[in-house]
Amino acid sequence: MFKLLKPHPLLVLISLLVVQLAVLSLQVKDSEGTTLLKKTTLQAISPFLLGAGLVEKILNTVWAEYINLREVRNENEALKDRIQQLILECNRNNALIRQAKQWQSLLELRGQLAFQTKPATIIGRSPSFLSFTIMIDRGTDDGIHKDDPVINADGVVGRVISVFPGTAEVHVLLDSDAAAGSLLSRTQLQGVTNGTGSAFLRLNYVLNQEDVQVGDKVVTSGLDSIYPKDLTIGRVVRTRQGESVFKEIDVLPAVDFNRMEAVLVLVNVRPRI
Amino acid sequence: MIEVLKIVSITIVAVFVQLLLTKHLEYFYLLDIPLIAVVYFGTYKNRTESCIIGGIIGLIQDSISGLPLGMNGFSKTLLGYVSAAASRRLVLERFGMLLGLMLVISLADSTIKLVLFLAAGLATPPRYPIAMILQALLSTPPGAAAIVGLTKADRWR
Repeated sequence: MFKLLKPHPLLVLISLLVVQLAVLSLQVKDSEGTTLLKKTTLQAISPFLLGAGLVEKILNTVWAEYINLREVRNENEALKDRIQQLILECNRNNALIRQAKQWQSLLELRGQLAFQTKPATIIGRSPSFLSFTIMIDRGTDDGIHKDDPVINADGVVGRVISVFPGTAEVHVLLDSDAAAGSLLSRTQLQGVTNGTGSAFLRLNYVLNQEDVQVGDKVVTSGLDSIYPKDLTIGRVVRTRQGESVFKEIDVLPAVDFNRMEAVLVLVNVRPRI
Repeated sequence: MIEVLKIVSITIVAVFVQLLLTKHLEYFYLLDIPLIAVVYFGTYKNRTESCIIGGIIGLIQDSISGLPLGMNGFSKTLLGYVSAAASRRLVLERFGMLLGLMLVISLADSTIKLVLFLAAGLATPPRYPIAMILQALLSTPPGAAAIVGLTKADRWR
């Protein structure tokens, strides 16, 4: 044994010293009862443990946040679906709010008007841009007649052109064939407002020398035997001298036809023949 | 075989004489007889044998002295090696040289044990540095004399 170890005295010394220290460490305990060997060993390996922990943490992060994204993808899809549902719900709610506001305005208007009215919901619009008509959910069963004026809280919408038992077709003032007897409320100048097939109306038959200003309010004159007097049509947005004796006056309708959802039909405005 | 018996005998005698003397005469703890045995073996054994014998003597000493096992074991392992290494370079037939080696080894033994005490967080005995020096001074002459005597006995045999 000694002969085997003889060539390596330093190795033997170090081994023996380590063993002696280990034996000593096993017996010596600190105030917390931890043996010196355990404490020393832990201190020696703690950097490696910390390093291993850090590496594990990094690997977990890389795995969870960069590689294993299947759950995230599924969650993402679910959230996108949910967002779409919420957008639809939000739009529906906004539409309901808008509708409620329109109905509230109509009810307030209905109380102020001296005419008998029938509230109606718009159930259809003409698909062609060449004709501006809407369908409402009131008809002859509700006392609606042909040529009854149709308005909303903002002003004149048009007139009934066809009536059926439960529905009616309304000719919107924007249509190029539609017209209403009008006057400028500031100057009481009379004319006729026609549809142009665009977003604007045209006030005709106002002489070039007459005083017309941008912003002037245009209302119904009540002379056309369709619309009662003083219903708002719109405001003058442009005026210029015409080539003939009449001015060319563009009027922006008071009614937002695109967002209109409910209307009032004025019934029994004039005596029936 | 005789050599082994000699090592065992000297070890047992050194440890138990130390034990008996300290038991009856308190101040004999200042004389470290096992350390003298370790230095003696170091004077004629090689480094490997010396550190192994030193370690065994130290462990036996620890086991009967009540110190943590390994305290003397560590010290005497190292000093057995140092003794053997020194004996190859020093002319230990000169008594002064032997005295010097014994003094250095004794001081080193006490210092190593003090360091181990402190490292282990153990309370050192009161006035330990003084006792340490005293032990070195007191162990040196009888230690050197004992080594000379044992060496002469070996030659006579």
